[in-house]
Amino acid sequence: MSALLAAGGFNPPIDEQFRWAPIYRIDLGPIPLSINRPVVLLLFGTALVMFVFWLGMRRPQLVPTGLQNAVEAGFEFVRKEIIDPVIGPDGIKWWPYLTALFWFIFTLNIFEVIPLINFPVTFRSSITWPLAGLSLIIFVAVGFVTSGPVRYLKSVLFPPGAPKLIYPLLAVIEAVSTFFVRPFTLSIRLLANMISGHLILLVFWAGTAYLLQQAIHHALSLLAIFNGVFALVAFVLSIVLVGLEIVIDALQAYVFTILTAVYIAGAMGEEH
Amino acid sequence: MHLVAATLLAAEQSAPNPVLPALNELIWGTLSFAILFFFLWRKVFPNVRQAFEQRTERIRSALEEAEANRAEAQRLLDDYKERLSGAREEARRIVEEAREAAEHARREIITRAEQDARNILERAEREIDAQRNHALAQLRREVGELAVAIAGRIVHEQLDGERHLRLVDDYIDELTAGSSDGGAGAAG
Repeated sequence: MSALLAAGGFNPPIDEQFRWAPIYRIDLGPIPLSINRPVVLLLFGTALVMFVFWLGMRRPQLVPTGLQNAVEAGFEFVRKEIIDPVIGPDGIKWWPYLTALFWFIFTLNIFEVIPLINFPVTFRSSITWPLAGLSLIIFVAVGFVTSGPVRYLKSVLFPPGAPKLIYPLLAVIEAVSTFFVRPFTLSIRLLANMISGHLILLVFWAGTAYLLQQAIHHALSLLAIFNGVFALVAFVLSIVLVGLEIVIDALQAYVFTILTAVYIAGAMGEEH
Repeated sequence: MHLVAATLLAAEQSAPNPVLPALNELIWGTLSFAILFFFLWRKVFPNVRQAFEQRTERIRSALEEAEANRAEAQRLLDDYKERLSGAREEARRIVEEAREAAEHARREIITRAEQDARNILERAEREIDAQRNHALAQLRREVGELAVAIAGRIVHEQLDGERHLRLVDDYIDELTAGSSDGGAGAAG
């Protein structure tokens, strides 16, 4: 592959994925509100989730059919797989939030493999940071409300059972781990998975196109056969990777949501 | 710090650092998620919760209803069984009573018939006795008169009536005694 790159000048359009020029420029005073392709996709994805959920539940039937089944399953999944095992019965008030979180992330992730879109909006840290920040705000708020600020901070920074001498060090480690590492890893885990997945798919698709071009260019030569075979291999692998990416898209949405639930459960349980 | 500076420098040289958010996207992203959350929370979730609760309630009430129906059916069955066995007992009792009544009537009829037969027999015997006594008395009188007449004529002796009659009675008594000893001998 590197030989091919060197020889033919294969340049997958990776840089472009990180530079998005505004399609429509709006500035509200000093606040930039320009709309670029990720923002368009973000708004489309958000509207899509809202529309599907609204359409499915606008007139709920006792015996659900069609889309209502799907929407109910969308809620049930979050409850059965995330809230019940992680938080328990008290977690029911987080049902709407965690459902919104899961389906928001999942939809923006899955755009990665939707034809003509082919771009996961969660590729942009601008999406993952606010979601991670919200998780931080929520679990700290839950801790404050459940135990009171002092007791909560004390239980986080000074976990019982450690020798008194190491508490100064422990408090620093716990503070960093709880209030910085948690949101940071939430955001970066999702972001890194989406960037890597998207770029790999991009390389394989661009590679397939490039190898086909080369095969046509060197028509009726040994190099054409060579390029053609590799184009086929790259294409087949890209299909396999699409399958893998679908799994990763769902998994990352699930991981983000379940970790948020775990942090909420931890903050609720600090009093115990 | 060096790392951050180096990263920022590298970002300026090539593509922007993917970890650093673009402010416009950050605002749109936060806003979008907030709107999505509030929409699901306020518009969709109440319907979802209502649908689940109604379904749960419906299933629970259906199960309870089924259980109640089953209990009712069982109660009816028991009731019918009880009534049926009561009716059988009643029928058996009625038949028994009828048989007893018939038996009683039969016995009464037989008793009355026997009584009637006995009465008729007794009356007949009494009548026969009366007839015989009457016949005997008449015979006795006639025999007496006849004997007196015959004897008067034979001995020409005038006897007073009363003595005649006594004589006749004695005679007849002798005759009767004689006939009860052996009627054929007296008559001869």
